[in-house]
Amino acid sequence: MHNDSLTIAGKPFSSRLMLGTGKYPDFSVMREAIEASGAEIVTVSIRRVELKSAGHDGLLDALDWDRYQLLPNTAGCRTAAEAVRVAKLARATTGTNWVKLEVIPDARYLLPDSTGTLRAAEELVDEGFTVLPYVQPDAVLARQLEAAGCATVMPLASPIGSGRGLQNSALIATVLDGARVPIVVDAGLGVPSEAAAALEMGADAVLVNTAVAEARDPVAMAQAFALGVRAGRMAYLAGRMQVRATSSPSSPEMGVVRLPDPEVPT
Amino acid sequence: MTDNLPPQATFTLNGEAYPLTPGLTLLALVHSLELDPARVAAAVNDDFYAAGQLSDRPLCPGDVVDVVRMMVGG
Repeated sequence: MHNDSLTIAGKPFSSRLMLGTGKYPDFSVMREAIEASGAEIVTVSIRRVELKSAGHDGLLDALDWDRYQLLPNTAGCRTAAEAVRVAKLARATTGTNWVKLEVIPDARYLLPDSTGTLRAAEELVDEGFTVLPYVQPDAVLARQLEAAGCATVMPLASPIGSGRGLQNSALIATVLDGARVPIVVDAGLGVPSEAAAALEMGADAVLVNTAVAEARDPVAMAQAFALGVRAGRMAYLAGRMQVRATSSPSSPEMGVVRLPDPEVPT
Repeated sequence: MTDNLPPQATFTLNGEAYPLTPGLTLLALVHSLELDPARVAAAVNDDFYAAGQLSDRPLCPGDVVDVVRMMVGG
């Protein structure tokens, strides 16, 4: 496991768990959960200020942002044009050129628009952004996003916030096969075993939010996800055994203590 | 004779139309909203202004202004 770092856009990370900042009971729990997760990449959203009662949003003060790679998303954007505008506003707000690109016209399942995502990705790469697009597990699209210059591809495991787990394993495997950028399984993971399974398959990282934030104990769940991700990565590097159709005894077949064979009824 | 009065000049702020006060600038707008200009970013049409670098760009009739900040999200 020495130097098994995850490199995104030339920047090395020791953690393969990315964490969102949404839905925590309060900022204190959020901060502790992020700490417990060991995550180095943390997502945020960009929103219009409330004009009638702007108030004070504490997120900026809730974390020591210098310790993290900030990853603003374009959540809520329905079209490529909206996502490009929000990405530029995100860069202006946060100072980072990293963006988790989401183009999602469908509110019920929050499924991404593949062609809109590709179009926005091409434009944002041209504008100097480090683009991490959220997509369906579609190997053809993944190759197109790589060719467009995206820093990662982020296929969904199941619908955002659903906790339904890794429902697209076979398709994610096709995205992983031959990928030239890190593949980050994003959305829908509910428990650490699912994160482990993604890493065991060869996914480079996972991004989790709701599974941690809505756990009874978000801090403990954050740590559990960190362990799951680490276990999955170690297992991937260790190389799994071959699957057999039948059993294969683990104890020696020689020297087994035997009584006379029982009589077989005829 | 109201037909001859010029229409009230407006601009769009975060998706809603607002009357444009003569001489209003982006920075003055943010101050008038009681926002800390170091903590919000803005766009005027297709020009983007980073947090801490909001300018005293004069706003014009029809300008589309977005003022945003960082929020929680996944």
